[in-house]
Amino acid sequence: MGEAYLPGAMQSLAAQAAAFEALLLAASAAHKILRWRQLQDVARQFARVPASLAAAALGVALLAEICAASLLIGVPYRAAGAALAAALWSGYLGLIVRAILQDRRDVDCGCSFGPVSRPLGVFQAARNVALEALAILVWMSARDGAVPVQASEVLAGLALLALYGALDQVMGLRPLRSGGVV
Amino acid sequence: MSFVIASQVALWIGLLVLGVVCMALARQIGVLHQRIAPAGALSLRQPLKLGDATPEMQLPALDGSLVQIGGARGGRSQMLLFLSPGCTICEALLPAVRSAQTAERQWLDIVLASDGAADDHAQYVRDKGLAKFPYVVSEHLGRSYGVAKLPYAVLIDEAGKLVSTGLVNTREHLESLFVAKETGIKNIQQYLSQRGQRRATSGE
Repeated sequence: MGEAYLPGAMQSLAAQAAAFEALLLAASAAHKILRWRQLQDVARQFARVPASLAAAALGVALLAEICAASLLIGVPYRAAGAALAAALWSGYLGLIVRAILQDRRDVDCGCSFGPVSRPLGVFQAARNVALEALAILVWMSARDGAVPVQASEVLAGLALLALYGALDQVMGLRPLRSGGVV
Repeated sequence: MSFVIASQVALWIGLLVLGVVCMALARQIGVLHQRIAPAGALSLRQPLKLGDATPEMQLPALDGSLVQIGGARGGRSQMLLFLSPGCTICEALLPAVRSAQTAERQWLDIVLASDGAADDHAQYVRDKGLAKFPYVVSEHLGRSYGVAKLPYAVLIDEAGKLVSTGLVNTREHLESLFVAKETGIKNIQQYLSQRGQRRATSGE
């Protein structure tokens, strides 16, 4: 466990983070394909995209997510993939913050995989900040040399994705009114 | 080194299973929420309309103090909960009432109300530990609000106006009165009507 071991461990962790982000982006792209019509409404109401451009905007986001996910897997392109992922999450974060500032908290942001009963708030914004920070870390580590994504990294990415999904489900639940348990 | 790799793989698999289980459980809670919603107090026909000024009364409580019911009360809202010692649903609701009294104490006073023999009610207060609530025994009060079934709750806002009323069989029903005050949706019937209109408009 000498000093020489640490960079290797960090690169391995960065590869796991890259696998997680790639899987999350792939899941997000699949979500767009499966709920194409519903997410066009989201583009109109949440992102305020004109109705005539909603399908095109959704298509661009879908393409960007697929590109970022693919680039994150390949070692030579990981930095570019991480930069694209960070840019995507920055864009989504901007839309969330804008909706909150405009007091449109009840609008569906399309940022969860299931039905959501909780209005937009700090959680959604913080989640995007965390994803963006992770993408930046992957980008920084990829500049110094990256390790390929292998089976154990994919497994780690899947586990992190499952935990992300669990958190997403829990935070989507309707908040209970305060008071003691009866 | 192979042991370290194997244990790491095993740990990730364990974490993956844990994540999937957590996700399934949380999803199940969401499904349950959707199945029981919406829950609200059922509003019955009553002599006062929602938004009307409530009659101001000074009534004696079981402990001998005078309780002001209705009217403006120094910026605080008031909930009248009509119950009876023989009502088992009322008894089941009492823990939720105690919890609400603590959770909503910043803006709400809760008054328990009933009619009948005062001795029975005094015994009920002792048995159920309700001494911290003002407890009024008055048939006139129940008639004023058209109480026909129990447990029945009436929420009066800080200006003395009737905000929401209805049968309250569960904690959700009780809390629906507070939500009615916060959202301006008066009762479950109005909520369902508005939801039907929204769905028709959006083509759901």
